[in-house]
Amino acid sequence: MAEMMPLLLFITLFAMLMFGFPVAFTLGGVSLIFGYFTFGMDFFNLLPLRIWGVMTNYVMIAVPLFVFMGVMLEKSGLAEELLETMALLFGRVRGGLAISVVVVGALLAASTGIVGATVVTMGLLSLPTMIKRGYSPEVATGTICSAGTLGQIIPPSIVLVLLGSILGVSIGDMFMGAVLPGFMLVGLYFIWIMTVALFRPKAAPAMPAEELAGFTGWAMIARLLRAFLPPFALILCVLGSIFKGIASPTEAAAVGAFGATFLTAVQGKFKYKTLLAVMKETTALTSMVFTILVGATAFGLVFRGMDGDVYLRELIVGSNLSPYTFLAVVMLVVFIAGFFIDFIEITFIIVPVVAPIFQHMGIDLLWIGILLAMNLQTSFLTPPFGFALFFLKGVAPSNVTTAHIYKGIIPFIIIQLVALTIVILFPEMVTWLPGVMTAN
Amino acid sequence: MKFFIIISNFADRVNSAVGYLTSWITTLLVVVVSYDVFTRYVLKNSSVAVQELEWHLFALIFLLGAGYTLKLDNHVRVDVLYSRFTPKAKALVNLVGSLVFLLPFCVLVIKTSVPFIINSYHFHEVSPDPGGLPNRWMLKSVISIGFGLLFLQGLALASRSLLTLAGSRQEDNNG
Amino acid sequence: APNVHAKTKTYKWKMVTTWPPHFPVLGEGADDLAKWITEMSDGRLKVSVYGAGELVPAMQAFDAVSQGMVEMGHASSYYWAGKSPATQFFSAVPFGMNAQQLNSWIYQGGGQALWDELYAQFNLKPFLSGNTGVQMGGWFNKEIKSLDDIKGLKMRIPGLGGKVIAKAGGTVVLSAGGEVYTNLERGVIDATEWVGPYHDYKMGFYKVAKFYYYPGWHEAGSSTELFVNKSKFESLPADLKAIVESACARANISMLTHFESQNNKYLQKLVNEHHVKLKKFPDDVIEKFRTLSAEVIGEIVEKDPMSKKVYESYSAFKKDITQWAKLSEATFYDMNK
Ligand code: NA
Ligand code: NA
Repeated sequence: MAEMMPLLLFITLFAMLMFGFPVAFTLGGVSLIFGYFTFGMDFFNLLPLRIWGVMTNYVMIAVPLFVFMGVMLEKSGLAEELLETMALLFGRVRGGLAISVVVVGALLAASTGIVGATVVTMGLLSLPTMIKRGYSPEVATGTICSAGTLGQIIPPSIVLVLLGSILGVSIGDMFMGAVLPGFMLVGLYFIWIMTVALFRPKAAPAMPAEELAGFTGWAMIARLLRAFLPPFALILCVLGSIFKGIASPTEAAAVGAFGATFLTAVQGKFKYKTLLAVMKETTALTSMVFTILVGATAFGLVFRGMDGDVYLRELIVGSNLSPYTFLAVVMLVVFIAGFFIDFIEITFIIVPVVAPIFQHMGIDLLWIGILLAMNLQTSFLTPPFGFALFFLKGVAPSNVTTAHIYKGIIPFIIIQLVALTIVILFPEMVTWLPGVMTAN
Repeated sequence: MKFFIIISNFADRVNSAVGYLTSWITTLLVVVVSYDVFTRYVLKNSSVAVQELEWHLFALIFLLGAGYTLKLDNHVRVDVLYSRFTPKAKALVNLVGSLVFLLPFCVLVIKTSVPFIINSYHFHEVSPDPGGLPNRWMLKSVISIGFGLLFLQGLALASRSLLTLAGSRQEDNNG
Repeated sequence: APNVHAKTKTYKWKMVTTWPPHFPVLGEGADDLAKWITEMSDGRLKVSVYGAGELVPAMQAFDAVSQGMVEMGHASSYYWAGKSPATQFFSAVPFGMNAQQLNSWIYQGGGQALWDELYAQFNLKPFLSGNTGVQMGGWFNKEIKSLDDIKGLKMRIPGLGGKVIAKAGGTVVLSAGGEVYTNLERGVIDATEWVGPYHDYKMGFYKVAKFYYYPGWHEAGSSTELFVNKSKFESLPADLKAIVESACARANISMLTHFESQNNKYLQKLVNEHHVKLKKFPDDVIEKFRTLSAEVIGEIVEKDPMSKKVYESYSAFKKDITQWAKLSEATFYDMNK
C-alpha cells in the first residue's frame, strides 16, 4: 500500500490540475492532504525552511528584472516595433519570424540559463506579434516554450552545474559537452519550423508582399534606425555584457530594465501610467512564477516524506539489466518523472543512485550527464507539469489557451526525443569538443 | 450574503493597496541592482548589505504580491477544460479549490512559519556574512504576512464563487 | 539501571547536510558517518543522509535540527555565524589553528565544553566530524604582487576571510556554489577561495583561473561537525550515545587523512598536466591580512560576550600549542627536507 501512495499522489495531482484551479495552490493543497494522511503534520514544519530556500535563491533575482525589461519594452510598444521590423527583415522567408524567435531565445537562454526569465520575456516580446502576423497559436507557443528552455542545455546552465557536481564530472567539461547537442537542437527546431512553413503556410506565414514592397531603400533604413536599432542594441548589450563577463545575469538584467526605461523615455513614451502598468505586471508575473515554486516545494517535501524517492530508486536499481537496457530504463524513468516532478528533485533523487552503476559499467559519465540534461530540459515542456508551459500561459493573451500550448508543444517534444536518440547513437556529439579543448 | 460581499470588497481593497506598494519594490529592485553594478564596476567597491538587500526585495515582491496576483486572477490555471466551463461551473471549481486547497495550504504555511520566525527573533539572527543585513526575523515574517494576504484574497474568491452559485451574482470577474 | 526496553528499541534518524548529495569528500564524509553509526549499532540507530536541498536547503540544516524536525545535521560550524558569531571558532577563523591544533583544543583543551555550552542554547549537541587540513589561498585571474592588487579585486570569499579582503580594499561578491565556476570564467569575479588541490581539481577551476595561491591564511584547517538535536540525543541509551561519539571521531580522522593523502597528487597534476601557475602570497600581503584578521576578530569579541569567552580559551590554547609546535614540528619540517 505504502508503495502505491506516491503513484496515487501523482494521479490525484494530475486529475486535480485538470479542473483548472490555479496550479500553485493545487500543488500545495494536494500535498497537504496527502501529507496529512500519510505521515501527519510534524513533517510540514520543514516547509518554511524550504520556502526560505526559494526566497534566498539569489540567482533568481534575474527573473523580476528580465520581466521588468520585457514588460517595459512591451508596454512602450518598442517590442512590437522590434519584432515587426525583424519580421519584415526575415519576412521574405515563410516562418522567418519563428526562426528569429528561436535565435533570440537561444541567445537569451545562453546568457541567463533561467527558464522562467527566458520564457516570460520571450512570451511578452514575441507572442502577440506572432499571433498578429497570422501564426497559429500552436506553432507560436511551441516555438517560444522550446526556445525558452534551451537555457537548460546551452551553457551555462543550472542543470549542467547540478549534474556535473553530482556526477563528479568537471563543470567545464559538462559545458563543453553540451555545446554541440545544444546547437543540434536549435538546428532541429529550424528544420521543423521550415517544414511547417512549407507544408502548412497558413500556420507560419510570410509577410504580405505589399508590406514588404514598402520596406526598401531609405524607408527601410529609416525604420531600421528608428525602430530596430535602439531596442536591438539594448538586448545585444545585455547579452553581450553577460557573455563578456562584464556582468552576471542579474546585473545585466537590471541594466537592461534600466535601459528599457531609458529608451522608452527617449522615444517620448514614458508616462506614469506606463510605469505603473509595468510595475504591476512585473509583480504579478514574478509572484505567479514563484508561488508555483512554493507549491512545488511542498509537493517535493511530501513526495520525499512518503519515501517516493526510495521507490523510484528501487524501480531503477531493482531492474538489474545490461548497460544499454539500463540506460533506456533510466532515460524512460527520468522522462516520465519529468511529467510530474521538478528537474532539481529528479536530479537529486535519481542521479546519485544511477551514477555509480553507470561508472561500474564503464560508461562515460559526461555522456550520461548530457543525456540527462537533455531529458530534464524536455521535462520543462511535458504537460501537464511543464514549467515552461505554465510560465508562457501566464503571459499569453487570453485568446491563447492551455490547449493551444499543449498541442503546440507535442512536435517539439518529439524533436527532443529525436535529438536524445541521436546523442545516444553518436556519443561523439558530447565527447568530441571537450576532448579537443583538453588537447589544446 | 452581505457578509460575503463585505469580506470580498475588504480583501480587494487591502490587496490592491499592498499590490500598489509592492509594485514599487520592482522599481526599487532595478535601482538597487543598477546601483550595485555602478559601484562595483565604476567605483570598484560593493557592499554585502546591498547584495543582500537585492534578494530581500525579490522575496518581498513574490510573497507580498501573491494575494494581489490572485485578485487579478493571474495565478496560472490549466484551462483546457476550465475555459469551456459555464460561470457556475467555474465558481464551483473556485469555491471547492479555495476551501480544500488554497485556504488550508495558507493556514499550513502560516502555522509552520510562526515558530521559524520566533526562533530567529529569539536568537537575534543576522546575516552569516560580515556586513550583511540584521534582523533576519523580519524577512522571515514576510512568509506569514504574504500567505495571510493570500488567505484573505482566498476568502474573497470563495465568497464570490458562493454568491455566483447562489445566483445573486451573474458577473464573476474574479474567476 | 539498564533499560531493557531502550536496548531493543530501534531508531530511524535523518541527517541533513549542507553539501550537495554525495559531494566529493565532504558529502562522502557525511555518508560514511551515517553508515558507521548504523553498522556499529547493528542497525539499532539507522541514519539516512539527505544532501542539501533534498529535505531542506543547505543553510537551513541548523534550524531543522535545532527545532527537532530532523535529528542530525552535518556541516561546518562557521555557516552559523548569523545564529551566533562564536560558532566560527569551532571550524576556522583567519590565522587560526590547524587541524591537529583544533582537535587538541576541542578534545583536550576545553573546546568541547564551550562548544556544548554554545550549542545548548539551540538545543543541539555538537561533535567534530572531519577536517579539510590546511587549505589553499584560492584561484586568481589577477596576479597579486602587492597590496595594491587587492584593491578592487572581486573575490568570492565568505565569512571572516571576506571581511578581511573587504578591509584590504577588495570587493566581496556573494556567489552561489553552482555559479562560482561560470562567474570566474566570465570575469564576474577575479578570484575565489575553495578548499585544497584534491577538491578544487574536481571542481575544474584550473580551466578558468590562471593562478593558484597559497597558503590558505583564512582556513588553516576547517573542521566539519555533526550536530544532534540535544533532547533526542539525550533520549538515546548510553551505548548508542557512545557509538555516535566514536563514529564521529573516526569520521574526523578519516576525512582529514582522505584530503591529506590526495592533496599532493592532485597539486602535481594541476601544475604538471594543466600548467596551473602556483604562487605564494607576498609577505607584506600576508602581514596585512594578519593585522586585519586580528581587527576583525577583535570586533566580534568586543560585541559578543560568548565569542569573547570562546576566543579567550581559543587564543590561550593556540599561543601555548604554537610555542611547542615551533620547537617540535617546525624544526622537524626544516630538518626533514
Ligand atoms: Na514536465
Ligand atoms: Na575554503
